[in-house]
Amino acid sequence: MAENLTKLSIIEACEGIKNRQFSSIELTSAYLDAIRSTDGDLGAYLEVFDDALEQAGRADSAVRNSSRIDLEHKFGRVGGVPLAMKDNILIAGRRASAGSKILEGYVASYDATATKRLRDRHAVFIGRTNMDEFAMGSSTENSAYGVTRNPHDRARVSGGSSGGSAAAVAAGMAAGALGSETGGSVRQPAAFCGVVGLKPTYGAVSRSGLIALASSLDQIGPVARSVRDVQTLFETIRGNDPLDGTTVAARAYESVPVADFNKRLGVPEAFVSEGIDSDVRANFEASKRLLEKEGYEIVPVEVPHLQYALAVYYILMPAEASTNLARFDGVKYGLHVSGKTLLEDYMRTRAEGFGKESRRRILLGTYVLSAGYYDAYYNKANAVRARITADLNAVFDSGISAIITPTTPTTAFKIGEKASNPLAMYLSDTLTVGANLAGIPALSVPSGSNEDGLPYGLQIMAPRLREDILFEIGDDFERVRDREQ
Amino acid sequence: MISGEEIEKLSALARIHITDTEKKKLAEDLEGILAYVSTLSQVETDTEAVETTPVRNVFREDVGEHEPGAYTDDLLSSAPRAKGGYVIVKKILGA
Repeated sequence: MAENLTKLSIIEACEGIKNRQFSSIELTSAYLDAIRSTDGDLGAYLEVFDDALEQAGRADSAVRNSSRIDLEHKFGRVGGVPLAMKDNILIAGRRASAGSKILEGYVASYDATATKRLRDRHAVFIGRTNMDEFAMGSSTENSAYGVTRNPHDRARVSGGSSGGSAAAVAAGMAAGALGSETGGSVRQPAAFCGVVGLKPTYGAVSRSGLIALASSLDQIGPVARSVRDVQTLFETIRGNDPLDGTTVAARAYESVPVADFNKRLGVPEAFVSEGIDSDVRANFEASKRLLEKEGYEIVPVEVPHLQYALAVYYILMPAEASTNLARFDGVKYGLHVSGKTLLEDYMRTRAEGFGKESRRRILLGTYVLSAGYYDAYYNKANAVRARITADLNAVFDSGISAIITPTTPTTAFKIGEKASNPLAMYLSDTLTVGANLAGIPALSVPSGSNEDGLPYGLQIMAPRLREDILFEIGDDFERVRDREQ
Repeated sequence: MISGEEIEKLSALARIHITDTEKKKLAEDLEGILAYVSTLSQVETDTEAVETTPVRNVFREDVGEHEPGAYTDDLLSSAPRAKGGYVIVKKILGA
């Protein structure tokens, strides 16, 4: 029975709890058992919360004291369900280290807005998951607390930076999870681990309580085992927030013509014709055939500046990161290393507290923002970013509902394989960063696996505020994929 | 070419101490990355500054203050060194 409980989707699990078929305590216990037996050699969790069963107990108490009708409103479709939270999303009273030594021991003094919205629906937070330090990385190898191994092959990475969240969900150690995106950090690990991951429209989900990396790019994104589950999590956490001035207006989603779109999909053929492994390319072709079986028309489209997206990203993101990470100075929170002067306190604290990749990116960001280089790098990158956004919007305006590509150029690589070459690691993001730069939503859906069991992912991108298009196409794709298996 | 002096300058700006052994590798890494991102110089763009996000200057009314000190203990409990409602730092003036 317990094993079967962890196979339920979020929607099914919540339904079962609301219908009193089983309790949140039973469900949470089943997941805690799964973590005990599985996470030893995966390392997805940095901490399993010691009050998980207490939280579940409170959810069960709410079930007992509410009518079935009231429960719909109180629980939504997530009440009583255990979720994993990435280590950069604040939960009041809980540690958050953003995968870094510089925040070791830091206890959050408030809930992230996304946390609060889940808490208000009686979701259970089962633990915090491993990540690349400050979300800088594509493999979770940059965590100060060790790597998270891929559940499909323990010699390989789970992807990053939300590797822990993706691995936890893929290995049945949580019903769903929250991760965060800046350049693909939910979609890429979702693809590597064979689960579904969403990057919402920029501004759809509040960034209040998300430890910042790049403020014009960051978004919290859900991970789960099905498109409808990801949709459920997204609809629970999204919304206007007075604490985040970049969140979309409250009425923004109300005027969206939900699921009203033509079935014309675009593939940026020039962009996906190089730098992608041949087996990934073959899997993508197979995905296109599956979509055509479901009545989709797939046409080539041009996104001329997309080839520059990675270069733009690796100027803007380090620049914003260098600013956001300036707050870690050993004074207000976290690690403090003492030098002879205040300045030395800063220099030594940050040298010891930040890992190699973080230091590299902060220096890179400092360089591109410094006098004499600001115009050539930062301003230039911003201008090209506007081009990429315009290119993508022009495709959507021409009658294309969504753009599809593989999510990643390769399947999960081996641990250590790209560690010594930063640029090789950055290239894993080449297919995902465009959506972050343009602020448009994008979804990764599992699209099969190779003969070694390593998953492939299909990426779908839609116009701003059109997550509904992603969910419909994603749901159709899951159905035809499973039928043709 | 990124020189050792350039790395030192960045180190000072970023407030991160870089050891002599790290300097060379960092210079190489940064050179490699900058060479890659410099491909942007090929792209024709307008010279005017561009807005990054669709929203701008989001304000709220200056109301709803909380009681002074309501969060002080909570926030200071995270500080590595604190005393009497203050965070402790080394000398700033005349340092």
